[in-house]
Amino acid sequence: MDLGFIVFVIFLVIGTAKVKWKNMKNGSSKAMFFTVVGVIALLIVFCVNHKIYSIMNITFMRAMVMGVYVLMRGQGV
Amino acid sequence: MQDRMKVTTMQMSMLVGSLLIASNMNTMPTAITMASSQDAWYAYLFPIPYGIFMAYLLWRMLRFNPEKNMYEMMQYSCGKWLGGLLNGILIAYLTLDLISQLRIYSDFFSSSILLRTPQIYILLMTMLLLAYYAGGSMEHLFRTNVVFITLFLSLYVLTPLLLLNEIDMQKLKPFLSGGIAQPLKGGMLALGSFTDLIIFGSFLHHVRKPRDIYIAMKMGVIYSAMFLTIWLFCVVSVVSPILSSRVLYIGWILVQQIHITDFLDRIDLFLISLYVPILLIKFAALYIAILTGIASYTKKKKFDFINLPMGIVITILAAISFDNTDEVSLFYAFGMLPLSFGVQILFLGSLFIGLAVRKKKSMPPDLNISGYGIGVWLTLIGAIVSVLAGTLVGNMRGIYGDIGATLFICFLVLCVFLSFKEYSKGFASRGKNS
Repeated sequence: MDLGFIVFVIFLVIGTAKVKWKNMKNGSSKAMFFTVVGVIALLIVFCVNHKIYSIMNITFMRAMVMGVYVLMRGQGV
Repeated sequence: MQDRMKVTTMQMSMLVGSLLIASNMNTMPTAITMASSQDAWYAYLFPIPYGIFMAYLLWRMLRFNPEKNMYEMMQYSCGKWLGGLLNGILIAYLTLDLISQLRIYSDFFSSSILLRTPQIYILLMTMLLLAYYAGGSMEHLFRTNVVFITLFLSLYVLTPLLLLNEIDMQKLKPFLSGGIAQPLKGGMLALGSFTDLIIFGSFLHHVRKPRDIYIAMKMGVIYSAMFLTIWLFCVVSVVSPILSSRVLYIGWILVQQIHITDFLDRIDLFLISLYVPILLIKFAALYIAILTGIASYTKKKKFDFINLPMGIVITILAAISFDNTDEVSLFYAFGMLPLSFGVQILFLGSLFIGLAVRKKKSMPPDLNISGYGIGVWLTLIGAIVSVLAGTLVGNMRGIYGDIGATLFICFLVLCVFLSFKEYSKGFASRGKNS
């Protein structure tokens, strides 16, 4: 993942926290905000180590998509 | 921010058009022509009953509680924990839908227009725009949509005229000769691309009267199906069914075939400047539906503080969730169909069971059955029967297929006309009552 993108994302997250902190009056809002920020951090760490985590690598997803594909393609073109 | 601003029926029906038309123009025709070959252009007839059924369900939901959206209704009907879990499943599905569509969009731009811009920045800039729209009120989105969709549709309806010198009717023939399975397979794929309609459940609290959502969605679904039928007709008759089943961005290829004069050779660039805003409006509606769902977990029901961080999550997921363009196109065309049916049956089934158990007294029915409404159903049945009967006898003699295709066009045009009349009559009767 691009280093510039990561820096930009950090600036955006800090900026949002600073501007919107007053709007997060109850605990559930704060918890949700930090959960999403945690997810961003996790995704960035994963992306730095490994490039792609394709949805189609999940066995169930691939089987489902290819099943419909084969059904639709049939004996035709 | 989750505002409580009300929107008009016309604005809603136009948003239905934006949701259904733009995102199904570029890559879906490839999958549909692969499944249905030259019979692909009948495909968008089959999702119309689904769209009307979805409009009916949303009308019933709104009658139970006019001031709540579907996430709030789910928490009311199934309780905090089970309702929260089911809301989470729907949010995950909508996120997957948005991710795959954003990825198709950014892949298209990376490979056709912005060749040297890194894909992550195309995604990020798009996401910032969506975050801007989500930060305002829903009325901004609806009003912007009215401006762009009107311009877009007025140009879009001229596409067959602009392509008149390229259309070859022989590519469509023999009509309806491939058996009953061909149009039905295309119809199933087309049905999968109409499942985005569930996001209207997130905007239920913006609707003035329950009947408005039914009338708006019914008309929106029918005219969208007609426009997409015109588009598929152009794709098959201009590009040919075999080539269009192998080309990835077939919509882009189609508009590049417009050659009016040597001076107006790049009409495609003009059309794309109208196509992109419509697509972005659809993404914004999908994004706001996701944010509204997430906000239902908080006490304040506001999502302004989560808007930008959630946009960043979706940007990163869109960048890393698919290996390449083929994979995402395959997933969107063939994977969203079973996923969306599974999620929607689970979500809407649980919601209606929960509402029935609660036995809250709903509002009295506010929909009057009009002659035009019956006419819409009759023409719809007529169009479906024409296609199915045509496929049964179309391989015997060519003229039977020709008759089936001609009747299909007549019934579809009549269906659109009657749905417009039903809409205008509904308005007139509301004016008298109020």
